[in-house]
Amino acid sequence: MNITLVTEGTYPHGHGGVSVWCDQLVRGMPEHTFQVVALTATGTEPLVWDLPSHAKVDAVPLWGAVPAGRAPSGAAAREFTWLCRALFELVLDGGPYRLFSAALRSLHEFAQRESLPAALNGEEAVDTLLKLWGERSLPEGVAPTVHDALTAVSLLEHALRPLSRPAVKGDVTHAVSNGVAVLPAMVAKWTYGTPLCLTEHGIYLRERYIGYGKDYPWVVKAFILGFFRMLCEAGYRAADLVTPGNQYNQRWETRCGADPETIRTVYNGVDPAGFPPAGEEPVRPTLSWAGRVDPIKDLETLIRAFAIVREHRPETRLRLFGGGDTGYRKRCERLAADLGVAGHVTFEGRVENIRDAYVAGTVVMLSSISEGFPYTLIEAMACGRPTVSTDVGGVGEAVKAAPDRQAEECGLVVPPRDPQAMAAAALRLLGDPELRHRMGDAARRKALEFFTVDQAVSSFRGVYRELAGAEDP
Amino acid sequence: MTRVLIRPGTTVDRDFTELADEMKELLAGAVDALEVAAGLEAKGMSDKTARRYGDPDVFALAARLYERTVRRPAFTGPAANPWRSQEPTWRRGGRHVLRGLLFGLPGMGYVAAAPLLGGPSTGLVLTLALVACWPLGQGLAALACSRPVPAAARRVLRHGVLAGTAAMVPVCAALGALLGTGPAVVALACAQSLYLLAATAALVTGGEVWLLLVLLPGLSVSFAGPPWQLVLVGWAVTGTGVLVLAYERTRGGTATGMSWPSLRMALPYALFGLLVGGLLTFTLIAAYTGYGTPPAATSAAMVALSLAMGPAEWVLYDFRARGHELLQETRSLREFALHVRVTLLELVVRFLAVLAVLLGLALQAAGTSPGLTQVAACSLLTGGALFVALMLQSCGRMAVPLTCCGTVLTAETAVLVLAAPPPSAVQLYGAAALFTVLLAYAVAVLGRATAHR
Repeated sequence: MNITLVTEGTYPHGHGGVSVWCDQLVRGMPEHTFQVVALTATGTEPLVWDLPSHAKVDAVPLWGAVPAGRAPSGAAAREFTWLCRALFELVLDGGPYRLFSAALRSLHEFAQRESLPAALNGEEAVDTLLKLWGERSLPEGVAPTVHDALTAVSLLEHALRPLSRPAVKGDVTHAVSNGVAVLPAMVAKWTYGTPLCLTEHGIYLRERYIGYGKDYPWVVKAFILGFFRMLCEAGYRAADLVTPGNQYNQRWETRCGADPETIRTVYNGVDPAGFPPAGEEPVRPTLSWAGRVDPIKDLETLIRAFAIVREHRPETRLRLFGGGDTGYRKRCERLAADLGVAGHVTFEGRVENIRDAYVAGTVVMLSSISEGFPYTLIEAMACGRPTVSTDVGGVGEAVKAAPDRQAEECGLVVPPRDPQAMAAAALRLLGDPELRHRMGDAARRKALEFFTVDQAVSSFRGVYRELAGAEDP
Repeated sequence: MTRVLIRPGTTVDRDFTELADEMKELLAGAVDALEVAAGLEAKGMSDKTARRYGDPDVFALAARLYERTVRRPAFTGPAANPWRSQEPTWRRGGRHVLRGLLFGLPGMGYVAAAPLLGGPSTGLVLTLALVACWPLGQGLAALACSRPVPAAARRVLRHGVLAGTAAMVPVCAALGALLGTGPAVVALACAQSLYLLAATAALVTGGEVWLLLVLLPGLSVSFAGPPWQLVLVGWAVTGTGVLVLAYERTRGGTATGMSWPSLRMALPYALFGLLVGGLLTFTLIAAYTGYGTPPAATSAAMVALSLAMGPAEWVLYDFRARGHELLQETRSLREFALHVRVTLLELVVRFLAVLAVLLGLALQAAGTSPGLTQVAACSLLTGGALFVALMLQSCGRMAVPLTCCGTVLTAETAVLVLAAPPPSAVQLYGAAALFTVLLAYAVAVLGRATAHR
């Protein structure tokens, strides 16, 4: 089969969990050919993953220079004015997803004849948006300027660039996130009827709400988030199957338009060969953490919890593995110094083999305020280490006892941003070697049973067969 | 832990108010309830915790928070203006005036050293070499400025100075052979090319003050008028100084990241440099090739024009900065167009006024000679046209200024060859036409908001 894998800002140009997952998927199915449509920033980013011979990459830059082309004139210009107005009204006011999809489809057809970027970069689009804003009641103190309209239209122009590309022919399209990545998938569906599998590790829309538009004036933020809201609904509706990386994500997916019938959770998996049992515990009691140093990981709560742990067990230390945001790291180091534990908290930086981070811990900690289905957790589980993690995203699903079984819990779960609770859980494990071993063993058993690469890959092998088969009865 | 006893109903409400207060910034600027839900989850709230507030899940709690509060987004403040630097005005202005001096001073050197240069063919070789080297400098500067990091720009400049000079050597040699000058003139033309490119490197990397310092020995000997051996020594010191300066300013370069598209991007700038060189030296080249004699004041006027390019950059920055501000101050395209067009005309007039003053001073210094008014008018019009072309170029409108300059230069040459009227009259009409057409075009297209993004 020919699988079109659509990624945005991840595989094969970026590091991180989603890229690891893509690599596992592509390498796991050498019997299929993969056409990776990678939505990138400039298109000149170097590859950070070696592609196997059955995979090819087609980089689609969203942020490079405006593609060459003339603005439309005559009938095409009138058609564009009409389409542009229809799209903007839906973005501003919301509306049925069918209309929105139809507008995108018309824009795609338009973009095959004319230059959509050139059209969107013209005065017409800016003028239309300014007029539409003028006709609407906006919150107190909001008065859109020409600059706001230019910014909003430009953001939209970049997001819509995939519509200008011709459809990719394949047997199944697999979009690795919602949002812009579903545009090539929708184009393939309109043109060839290619079935679509939509996998989400996080929730695209939720991440846009949190991270996008903070620096933009309110009208620009409202416009672009309105666009993403409509786009995500259209994406969920266009998907023949939505496969979130954990069950918790389904809440957002169904809320934003996905049909619960089409949702099937497929967990991430680890390669058991890469994560054999960690063996002996470190001599000195150690809490270890692995990941990207970033505010979303809430290391501050972890450090506060560690300070409490040390009040009861002064020999304990905390080792943090991973690179990332140096500014945030400095903040964490200052906090550790303020709490008087600076000498006992070490930032180890990136390690060659991530397994070393789990081996180094008596207990492995996860303090994030937001997660999908974190690799660090299932990797630690595969190594047979007991864990204390915050109850976010799919974490609870990963560590809870396997259903219908007389099994142990595989780790302790605490509320996020609660150093007291986290410290209590860590102390409980540190003080009970027997519990640690029981939990570690249960964790390894569960990881090997439910969260292996083989399982993830074979799930998608089945999904591809099912979707492609549904095409020709 | 002690438990505070509160009636269930009130607990819910008080906690809710507290939560709303805690999130008031997000709530005031939220675009919909989903944004609030995302914000709640980012704080670590789950459906479980939402139930503590009496809501079935995060979405319901978010919807309630959104409905119970008023949207009053905080003003984000105007977007940073990339054209307005934080530098104090005197310093910014000073730098632009200094750059003008640096553009014009070498020209002064030629004016002062003219008697030493010998026959007309010497002058022609030097002028043609100058016109040929100018586009290289312009292209090199554009290429360096397009690099994402200064270190890459430094590497581009270093390679550019070396490659550009190497390319100029055969050109100068060919010119010398063609016009029958000696090796000394060819060497001088080569040195001039090296100076121009090295000075470009120094200017692009912000070495204005240093460049002025190394220019001083050459300039002072030229003006003092000592024997030619001393003039040579003076310029040799300056030449070496510029080389050392260029070497110093381009140290520690990194991979250039150059590609064909980036070279293509620099091409219009180079072409523009060539055309401008041709337009400015029209009467000089015409004279050397046997058409008329250039008015005596031409060299002085060219110095004034070069000096004016410093203030031109300053006014240009002002234009872009004003355009950016107007985008944020106006609420409709019509309003923007009106204001930006008024600004454009105002700034063209401002530049012409500066140029007029400089021309007045330069021509005064050169003394009265026939054709003075014509030279002044022609220089004003050419300067105005170049300034408008730069405005267009800075807003990404490259093609039309290039076409217009190319057409005018071709037409001037054709008229001269076919009808042989006085070259200065041809140049005057050409400049008037160019200025009118470019100004009209600029008023039309630079009134568009999309030209100022």
